[in-house]
Amino acid sequence: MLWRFRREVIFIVCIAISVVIVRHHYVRKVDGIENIRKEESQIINYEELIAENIRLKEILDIKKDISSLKKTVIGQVVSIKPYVFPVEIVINKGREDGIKENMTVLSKDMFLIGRVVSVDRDSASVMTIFNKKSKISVVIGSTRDIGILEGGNIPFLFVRYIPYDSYVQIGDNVLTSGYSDFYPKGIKVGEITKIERSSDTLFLKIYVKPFSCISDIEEVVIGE
Amino acid sequence: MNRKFILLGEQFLVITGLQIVALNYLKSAVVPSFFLIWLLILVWEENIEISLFMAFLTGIIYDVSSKGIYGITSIIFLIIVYINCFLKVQDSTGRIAGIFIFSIMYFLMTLFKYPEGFLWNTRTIIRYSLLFAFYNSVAGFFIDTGMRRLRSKWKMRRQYLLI
Repeated sequence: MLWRFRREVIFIVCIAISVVIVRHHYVRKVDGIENIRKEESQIINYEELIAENIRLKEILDIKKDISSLKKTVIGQVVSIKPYVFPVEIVINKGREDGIKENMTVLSKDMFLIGRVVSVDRDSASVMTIFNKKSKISVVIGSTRDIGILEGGNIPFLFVRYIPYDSYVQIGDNVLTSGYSDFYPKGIKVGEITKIERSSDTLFLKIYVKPFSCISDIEEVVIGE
Repeated sequence: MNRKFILLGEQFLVITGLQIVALNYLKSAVVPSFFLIWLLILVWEENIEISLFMAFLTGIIYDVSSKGIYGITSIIFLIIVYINCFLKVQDSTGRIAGIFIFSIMYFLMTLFKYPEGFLWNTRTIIRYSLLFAFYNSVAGFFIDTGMRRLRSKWKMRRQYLLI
């Protein structure tokens, strides 16, 4: 009888195991024990440890220049979804480390990655600028025009509501305006790569290449 | 029986190597899923129980190497393999079409999050799912041809041993 339904049995067993693994990894994303194991394995790998040390030193050096952030915490990326142009990342810092919802998340070079959307005891989920729900008030560096940076399009993001007669140029930097409740003023987001002018609309369509290449990040700076 | 397992082991190692190299070194917006292609071919060749196990195993390997949430890809692979248990696709054209369709399905499943829905815009999803499916179909063509050649080599080796 069981042999007859063997494929169904294997399917259900494998699904059940997978669900258990997902729950274990997602709900208790970063377990204390997992951290200890991770640290132990990292200690053995000296090269990795040295590289991490250099990266963290770089972050500390750059942090001195960022005055808009009152409080900062350095976290590590635990998981990325999806693998390319991620819309959601999970970091290993949570409520216990002082992380709160809507805190800004930056790359080690202090470029905008996104903001914290949910916090657990020892981990937090971050909505990145690639998420279609991400709408950020930004300012064009050279002209000081204010627009809305929209996610959901890859590999470029769009800035909308920049007036048709604006003097924006390709290569101009896009920064956070500070008008949003979530993002402090002056954080670099990306650079303008293309400008589309259409006579039937009042606004320009601006393509922005984000500075933070999220797929290969390991450490992030969380601040408010 | 042993011969079959050796053949599968060889294939598994090659596909795992290809997938890890692609994930780490391919500088492309979308990376083909060699695991998915292999699993589809495996299940179409009626290795149903093995392909279900492999769906679980390769899913975990994929999540570990792509920094995903462990187990998510396993669930997606298992669902796709289970659906394909009931399909018999033998000819190359049908297989490439199958890989194309199920690649789109896989891509959509990876981008879905309950209760928020899809995490990219519709146009972007369509564009990149088609690109992903195209890459997979091209890779699928080569993998299918390679596997057929490998099998014929094994046949020759067996005949030689019998002589």
